[in-house]
Amino acid sequence: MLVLLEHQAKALLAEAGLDVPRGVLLGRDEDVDTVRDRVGPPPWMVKAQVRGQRRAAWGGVVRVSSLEELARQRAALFEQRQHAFQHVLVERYRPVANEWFCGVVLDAAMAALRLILTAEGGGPVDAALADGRFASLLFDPAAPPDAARIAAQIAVPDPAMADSAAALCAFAAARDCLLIEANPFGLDADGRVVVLDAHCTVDAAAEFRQPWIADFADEIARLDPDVAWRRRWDGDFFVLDNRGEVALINTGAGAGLFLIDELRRRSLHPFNFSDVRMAGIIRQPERMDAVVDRILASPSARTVLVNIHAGIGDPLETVHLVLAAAQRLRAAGRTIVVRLAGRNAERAGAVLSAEHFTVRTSLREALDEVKAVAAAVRV
Amino acid sequence: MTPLREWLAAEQRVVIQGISGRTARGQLPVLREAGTNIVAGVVPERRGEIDGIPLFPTVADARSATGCNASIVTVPPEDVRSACLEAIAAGLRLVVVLTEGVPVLDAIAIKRAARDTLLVGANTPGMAVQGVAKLGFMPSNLLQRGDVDVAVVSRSGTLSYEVALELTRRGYGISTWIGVGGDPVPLLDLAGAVRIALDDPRTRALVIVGEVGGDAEERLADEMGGGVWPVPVYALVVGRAISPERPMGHAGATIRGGVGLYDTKVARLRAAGVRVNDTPWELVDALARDL
Repeated sequence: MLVLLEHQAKALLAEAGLDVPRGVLLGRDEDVDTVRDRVGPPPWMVKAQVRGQRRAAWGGVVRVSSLEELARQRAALFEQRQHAFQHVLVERYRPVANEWFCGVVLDAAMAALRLILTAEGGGPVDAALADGRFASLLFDPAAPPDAARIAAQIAVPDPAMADSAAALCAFAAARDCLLIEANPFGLDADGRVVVLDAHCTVDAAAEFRQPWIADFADEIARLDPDVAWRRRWDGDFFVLDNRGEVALINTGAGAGLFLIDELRRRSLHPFNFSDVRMAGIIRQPERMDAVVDRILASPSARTVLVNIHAGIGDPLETVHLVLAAAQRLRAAGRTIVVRLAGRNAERAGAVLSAEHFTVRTSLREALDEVKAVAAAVRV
Repeated sequence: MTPLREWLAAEQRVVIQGISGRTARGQLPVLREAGTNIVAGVVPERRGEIDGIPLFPTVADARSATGCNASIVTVPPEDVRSACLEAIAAGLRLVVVLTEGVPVLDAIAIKRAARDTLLVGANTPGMAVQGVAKLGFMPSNLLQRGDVDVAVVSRSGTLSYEVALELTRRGYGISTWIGVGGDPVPLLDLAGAVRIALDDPRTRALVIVGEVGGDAEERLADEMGGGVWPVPVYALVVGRAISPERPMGHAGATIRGGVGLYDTKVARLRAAGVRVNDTPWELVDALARDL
């Protein structure tokens, strides 16, 4: 799944036929003088292109009335350190008389998509959704509802919403969107429906038939090293805490979650989540080097747990890669605990033990060893 | 409907869709050792045989020639939808999808088309009924009979290995093992998998391996709860430390809108009479005390 940036989501909504304010992306140092020609006269909204909710709460959205103010506010946004982004979206300010919400989301339990509409969009939407003040229609993605069906089947808060809702339903189904929201949207001074903010999550697994996802993902990857990792190497390597003391080189997503839980239960601070996928490492041995590079980039991650439970694989096939990684980590002053399980785990472990690495076949013992090692390192 | 163990023992005739893949070919001897009766392989536009198994270009061809009634699907993600729809149209009773990376809307299309076909997966090591058949790639050394056999139903492949390893070390066996997979829309939900596992007459206890995200555990608690289970039920739920809105590994392990939180899952399972534990070894300790 890939959570898109606002300007990406709006580009999709525009393709779906919805009206979005005219806007332009500006980097930190790009010339602002052309904004008037490209967007129209002020006032403008200046919006940091970060992923995630609650952007307005930290001041990531600002209204400005002149080019000078635009330049000043843009500089202020880029100077804050909490949220990383590469662009601001500068849009023509288009006030709406009412703030509605329209979303299409995956309803996993029902194996369907669900249209949600409420007249309480914008900030109050969370409360409206939590309290059930919305209209909702479940639909088969193979047969998205048109405006007439939507109007006939649910109480649409305003008739003007139905066409936009139908466009979103069709678009989500056609483009593998697992969430697409217009929030808020409403009628502008000319009586036209306009979308002021948008969110979208697309199914990255559908990239083979939605090639446009690649461009969006590549843009996000420049902001987010975790997304960049997934695109480069497949598998996952997420930094959880740059000050984390225990790094993980692990196979399996569920096992990765479990290790984080267990490290925290032992009052340790994990540096990362990982599912490096041993089959992938066999195909791309350099993936292991990339894992080690990311760990070595953190001075805090001084203890490393390597956990490989080979289901149908064989740890002997990868032990030379594990050994090379462990040697690089040790040369950089890191302490390594290796846990191997599966066919030939003991033989593979012997290869590592011969080089004086700590090897366990029991995950519990390996975690206890990590606790002891991390405590010693702290001292 | 006949319990799966009984049906597989008496009637299984398995086709492998995507049999020419490296992993599938490598696993053929292991599957056979586990009792799986492989009668056909399907590779589009191919005939001939692989390791003595006849190849057919379509499931329908395989069905008419061999009477195959169950499938293991290992085709690439972009082909899973058509492969499954083909298997359903051919009237197969059981389809186990091992492929990772199936688009969610494809999973929905498959699930909606299922009719009488039991679907399992995707993104899973598969399912196994010990002593009868293995329709997947879970480790055979952990698929043994014990004095007391335990069913395992899991959203995570690797974590189910850890649980099975711990059970094996302590002398327990496995009755039925089902990986429902880590995708947002599993073809077989947790509750459905639990019903199959409990249907196995060898099942003396049940282990559920869950994780944050989605509401599968909550729905299971609603559907099967009330504290009245035919056997003792244990659960391991992972991901308590995950931050909302940030998927880690499994796409299904994403917390959205406050749904899928660890505490909620654990509370609902406990209220439904499930003994929830933090680790595989604590879970097996609890099981040993009870049994």
